[in-house]
Amino acid sequence: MSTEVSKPKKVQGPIRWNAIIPFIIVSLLVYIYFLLFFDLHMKKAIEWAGYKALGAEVNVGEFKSSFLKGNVSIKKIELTDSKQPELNALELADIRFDVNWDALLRVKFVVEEIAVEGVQFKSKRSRPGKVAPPEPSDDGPGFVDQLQEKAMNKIDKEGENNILGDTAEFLKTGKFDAQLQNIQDQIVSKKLIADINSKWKTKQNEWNEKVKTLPTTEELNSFKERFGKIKFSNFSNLQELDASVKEANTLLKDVEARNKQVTDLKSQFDTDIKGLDSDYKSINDQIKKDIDTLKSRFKIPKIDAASFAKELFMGYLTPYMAKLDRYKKTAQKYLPPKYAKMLDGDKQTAKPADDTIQPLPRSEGVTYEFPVKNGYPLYWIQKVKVSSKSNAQADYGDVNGLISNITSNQRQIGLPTTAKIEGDFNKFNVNGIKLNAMFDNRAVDSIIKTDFIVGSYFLEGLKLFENKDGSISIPKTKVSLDSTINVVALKNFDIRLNNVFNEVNFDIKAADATLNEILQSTMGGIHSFDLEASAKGELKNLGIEIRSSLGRELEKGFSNLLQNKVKEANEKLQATINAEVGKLKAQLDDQVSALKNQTQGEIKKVQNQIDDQKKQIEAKIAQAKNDFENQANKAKKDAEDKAKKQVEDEAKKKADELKKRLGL
Amino acid sequence: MPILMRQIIALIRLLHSETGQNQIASGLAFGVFLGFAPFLSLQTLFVLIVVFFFRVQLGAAFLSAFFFKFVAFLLDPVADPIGRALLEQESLRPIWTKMYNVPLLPMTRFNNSIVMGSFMISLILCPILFFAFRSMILKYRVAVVSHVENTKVWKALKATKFYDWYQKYNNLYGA
Repeated sequence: MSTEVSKPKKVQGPIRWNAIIPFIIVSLLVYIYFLLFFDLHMKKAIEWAGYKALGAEVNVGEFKSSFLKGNVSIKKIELTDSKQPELNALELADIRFDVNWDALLRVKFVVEEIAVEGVQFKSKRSRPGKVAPPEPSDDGPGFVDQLQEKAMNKIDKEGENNILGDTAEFLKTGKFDAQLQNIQDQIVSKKLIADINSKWKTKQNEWNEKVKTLPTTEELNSFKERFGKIKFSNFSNLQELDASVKEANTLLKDVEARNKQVTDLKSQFDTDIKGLDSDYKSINDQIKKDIDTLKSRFKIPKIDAASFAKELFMGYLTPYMAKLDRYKKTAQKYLPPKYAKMLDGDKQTAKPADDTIQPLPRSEGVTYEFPVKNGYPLYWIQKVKVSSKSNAQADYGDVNGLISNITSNQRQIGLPTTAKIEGDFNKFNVNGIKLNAMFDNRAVDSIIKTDFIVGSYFLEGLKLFENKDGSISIPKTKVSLDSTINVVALKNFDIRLNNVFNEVNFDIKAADATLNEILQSTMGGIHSFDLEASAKGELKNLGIEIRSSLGRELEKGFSNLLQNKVKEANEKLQATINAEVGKLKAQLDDQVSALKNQTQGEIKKVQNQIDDQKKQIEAKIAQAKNDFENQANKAKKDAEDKAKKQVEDEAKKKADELKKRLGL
Repeated sequence: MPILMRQIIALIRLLHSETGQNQIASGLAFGVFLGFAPFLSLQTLFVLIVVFFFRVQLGAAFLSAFFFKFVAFLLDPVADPIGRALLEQESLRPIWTKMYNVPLLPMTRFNNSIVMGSFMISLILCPILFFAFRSMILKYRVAVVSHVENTKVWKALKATKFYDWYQKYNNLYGA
């Protein structure tokens, strides 16, 4: 048997030293990840998120970060232009910023200054960028839809015609007498009047039946007879008076019942007559619509400045509106839901923050928000300095600007987000760019104000009008742009665009010689013109206006030649319509006036008779009451006088007797 | 999972040894904090570091955390009013405001009524449970382990070769 000598166990201290090594290894692995892979993964994350947000490939040349120093440097950021994937919409050579460590420890992201250098637009890409397929459009109308829907007349759109094309067509023929012979079937108002006519015919029959229910002459005479039999004077006693009054009241009730029936019928009749007014209005509206439709079909041009301006500059303005649509969609995608809904016109429910404790109900417990004294908002980029200068190596734009206070909570820092950028892009002959923007979300209703000015830039190959009848284009023009966008509560928009086109030489081609001559003589002398466009109101219902001096000039030019002809054509059309619908309208008028005269007259007659009867009864009852009262008063006074005299006689008799006894 | 299993086996072994009652009791007591605190919070991380770097029985801590997680759910209706009472206390408001504005501390989610209430409960329970568990372990060793070791079955098992092999293995590779 062997004896085991157990070794005394080494006493272990309170610290678990054998856990330190795995901890150090894990820490080392984390450090190696941040050293070797974090920047790469961040680069890929930015590229992926950029593509998802913008719908076009985003490339980052280099992403460098230092965790301990808290700084980040991103080089060569390229944002693909979705319309021209071989070009960049924007390229930034360098972005650098330092992160505030104090804020980071509070899980807040604060950057004091971001430096953005080497800004380039439309720079060439090494390879075409990937562009995401367009997303299905939402249910609401966009800026472009509204521009096309409201700026252009709906009938113009349906007829797919245009002013200059119509003018050419009108100049060619200008006569449509033959076509006017066959328009009967196309006049919608005719059918409408016929329908209304038949409706009122039915109404007349109904009223004929109703009039029959009115009190007849016999009934009214019976009231008179009953009235004649009632005693209204010389009552011998109170009972007689009471019986008469009761009889009169019964008659009065019967008369009132019939009177109510007549009054009800009268008010029904008045309501029907009111409905007639709306029928007349709808007929007039339809006639107007018919005239517009026919004008469009016969291509009678509208000679006014606004129509010319809309016609010529629709194509030019559509891309601007398309951009606004894109920005709106992007904003709706990334804004918090309560703000995104406001873009669709929903009311904001947010209330201004206060410093009181605000318990927020949670699934578990209540989370209290205490006042933030020296804290930071969730994110706050205090300054973004944009600067770039062209040099021999790269043709960057000469841009200088400052964007301040991009933050998640403007109320907390008490400052709005502002941007002020100025610059020139000589490569594209774009000079005098100035952007002043302000986004103030401190009040309940947020305010966005943006002024964007471009001193001058060149536009080439601007097509104002083109179809089989000819074309109007401007080969090259120097343009200046001044635009303002004001938005209140992300709901009320006021967008203004003011363009001035200088150094203009129009290229005019028209198949029709007369049209060509007018256009040449009108536009040949114009070397400068302006364009003012505005969109105002709620996003779902913008009031869009387009004005241009070119439209006014064209109006003048065409008016001289075409005004009389167009006026004559319009009058002829109006006369034809009037002739077509006039007969039916007259029938309707006759029918309505017959109804009015007959029914109204009958009701009035009966009502007057009943009123008369009622007044007579009421007057007689009053008189009877009065007579009886007088009679009663007189009887009372006679009785009093008689009693008084009797007392006096008795007293006198007694006094005489007393005198006799006393021997006086 | 193997690490957790090893820790639990180590706990059973330690429970049946003559030492380590403080390690087990502290592990079970720290488990209260882990069970009552939200999984992703600064205090959970702090307790994990403590149990990891100090000689606290990890198996006991995790078992206790698992058990007290269910207890915490049951005690939520109690923790909530305690937390509310503390957070709404006017005299304590400057402290909470200060803490709310200090870096890192908001990550404890102390401003939630259940987190605050649960923390207070675990703070009170922790020392009480430490001494309670310690005393229970000692009693367990006297009453249960000694009784089992005195049984004939256990003595017979100890006399087998199998037990010798286990003893040798335990001396060589055991904790």
